[in-house]
Amino acid sequence: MTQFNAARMGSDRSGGAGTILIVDDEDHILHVLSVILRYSGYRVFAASSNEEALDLLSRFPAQLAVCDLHGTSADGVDLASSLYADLRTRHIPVIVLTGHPVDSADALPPNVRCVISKPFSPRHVLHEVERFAPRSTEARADAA
Amino acid sequence: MIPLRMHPDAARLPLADEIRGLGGVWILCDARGVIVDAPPAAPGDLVAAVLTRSRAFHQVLRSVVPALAADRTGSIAEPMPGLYLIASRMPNSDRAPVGIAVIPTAAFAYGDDLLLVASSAGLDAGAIREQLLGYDPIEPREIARLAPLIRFAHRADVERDLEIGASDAVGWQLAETYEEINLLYTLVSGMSGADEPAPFVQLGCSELVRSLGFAWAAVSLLPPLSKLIPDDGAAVAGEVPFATADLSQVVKLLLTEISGDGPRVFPRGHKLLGQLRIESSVAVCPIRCNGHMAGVLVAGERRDRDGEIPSIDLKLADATAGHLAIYLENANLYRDLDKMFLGTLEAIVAAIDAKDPYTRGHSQRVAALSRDLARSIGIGDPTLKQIHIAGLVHDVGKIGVPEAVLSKPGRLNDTEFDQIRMHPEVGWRILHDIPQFSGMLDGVLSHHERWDGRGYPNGLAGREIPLIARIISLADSFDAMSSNRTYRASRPRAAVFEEIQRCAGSQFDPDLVVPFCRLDFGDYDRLHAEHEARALTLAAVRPPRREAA
Repeated sequence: MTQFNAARMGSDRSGGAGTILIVDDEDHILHVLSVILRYSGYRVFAASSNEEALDLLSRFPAQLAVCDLHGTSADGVDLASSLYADLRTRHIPVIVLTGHPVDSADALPPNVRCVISKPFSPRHVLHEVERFAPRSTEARADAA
Repeated sequence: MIPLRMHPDAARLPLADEIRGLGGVWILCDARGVIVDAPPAAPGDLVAAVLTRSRAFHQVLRSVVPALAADRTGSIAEPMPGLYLIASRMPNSDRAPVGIAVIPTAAFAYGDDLLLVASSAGLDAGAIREQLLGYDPIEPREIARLAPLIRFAHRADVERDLEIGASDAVGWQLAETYEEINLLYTLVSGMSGADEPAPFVQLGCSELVRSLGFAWAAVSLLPPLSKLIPDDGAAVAGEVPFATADLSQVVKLLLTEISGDGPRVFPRGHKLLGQLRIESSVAVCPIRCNGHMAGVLVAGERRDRDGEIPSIDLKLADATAGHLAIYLENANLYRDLDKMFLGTLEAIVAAIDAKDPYTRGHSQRVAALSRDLARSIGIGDPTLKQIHIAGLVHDVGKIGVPEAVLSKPGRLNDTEFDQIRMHPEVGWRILHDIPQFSGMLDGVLSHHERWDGRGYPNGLAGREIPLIARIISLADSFDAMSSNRTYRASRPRAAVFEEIQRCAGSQFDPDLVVPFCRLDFGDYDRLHAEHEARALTLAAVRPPRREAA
């Protein structure tokens, strides 16, 4: 659990709607993404390793996962494969952030819907998140 | 961009949950006793509903809270029997709302005031009483002990809230920096990859629309830079609210209200925008080269935004204009240099061609034909440019061949022919020390090689002969056959084609002959006519005569 989760770790009544899991081993990326997503009306859980991410997901369902492709402890390909292998999390779309060009050798599992290269535009990430995890009108009104 | 603000959940922090667990409600009031923030009542939570919605209770707050807020009566009040208010003020902060813990006890649940409060909220007092008594009731004597704990927790909450706000502010700042890095990274990578100015200018516009909050962006370049990109110096991206053809007029009008170097925002509703029927705010960033206005970047805010262009977007649009300026200035210098280089080369080559009046303009025509042939088989820049220049200089070695031999009518003897056969090597020797010509040397050295290996100087055959030389060889022979020579008159086009086709596979690369014969020779014929005409008039051209003083 990272410091960024502290503010919103209440009971989960949403069944995962509007909840985004972000996974990256770099703290500053977790910080930036959690701030922009939170202020856009999403509930955000942040993890800095795959292990932590899977643990969070087992307790709090998420609508979408955003993760780093080849981090040292957070590897997006592994994580996406684990999510795809589990029937409970198979439906969760994954957005992958990568600092390296993705070639065909990186066999990405089918739940990876979008690859964004670093350095990334936070607004572009938000835009893609909104595409795969549309916010309910209630959440939008709440954030406005 | 989503506005920067403090943490929005003040009333939903842990203290509020704790007090709710005691059967009470945590609210924030202003100094007049008006509720400014209260937790949303969960469905069916009648206690929270009655304590936040009842008009009678609101009246109670207005009569009691001002005194509590000013600390004139201590921090605890019991405005209705069994209903306690514990106030918590933040020190050193007069304007911060006062936190009020509203704690009902058993006496309130059984008292008449509950009926009053419930009816003014339109709720059933019986059901509320049942819920109230469901909590472990607080004894009135415990209220005094509860008060300091609540104040301590409130302070901790506010401090934590401030910390989250500060941390979020850093996050926003970081997000803006990321945005800036991303834009600059994209522009810089685009800059190193762009050979032509037009795609780079286009990239600048597209990037403003793709990653910033602009609905459209356009660049209008003023002369002399406007010739660097097509469409009269205009590039656009997104849904521009006017025709591209009108861009320069739009820019001209906007520039009438711009003074100084910096960017400027025309807010939505500005009279100029009204005149142009543009409904959104517009950022205008001058593109300055060498201290002169060289062009303008204009970008329109998305209409669904609140109409204000955030300072970060303006800063990034201006940074984009700055990058465009550097790039365009370089592109312009490079183009001038390139023009001067080609012009100088053409003059030198023309001097060599002029050694033999019959070969006037030959090199320029071979250059043009070689380029056309190369393009038709799918060769692009920068090789295309090299082939053009190699075509231009392919005969530069003739400078070492005596004029008497070059312009001798009739047959050459063996010695004379040997002299002619030296010109590819002489040309190679002249050019081989110039690094910029390294890609073209093959074209100069081998343009007299033949596909069947019977050419000179090295007797290369087939694909041993570099492609550039095979291309120039074909163009060279075509022009020779199509022009008058000292030793024979020009042949008609059909006869030239026939001869070339006959020599496919012996003299020429057969794979090049087919595309060559399909070329459009319109430009070639115009060039040829121009050279003939110039040969006739050149003698009449004199330098301007200076009058003696």
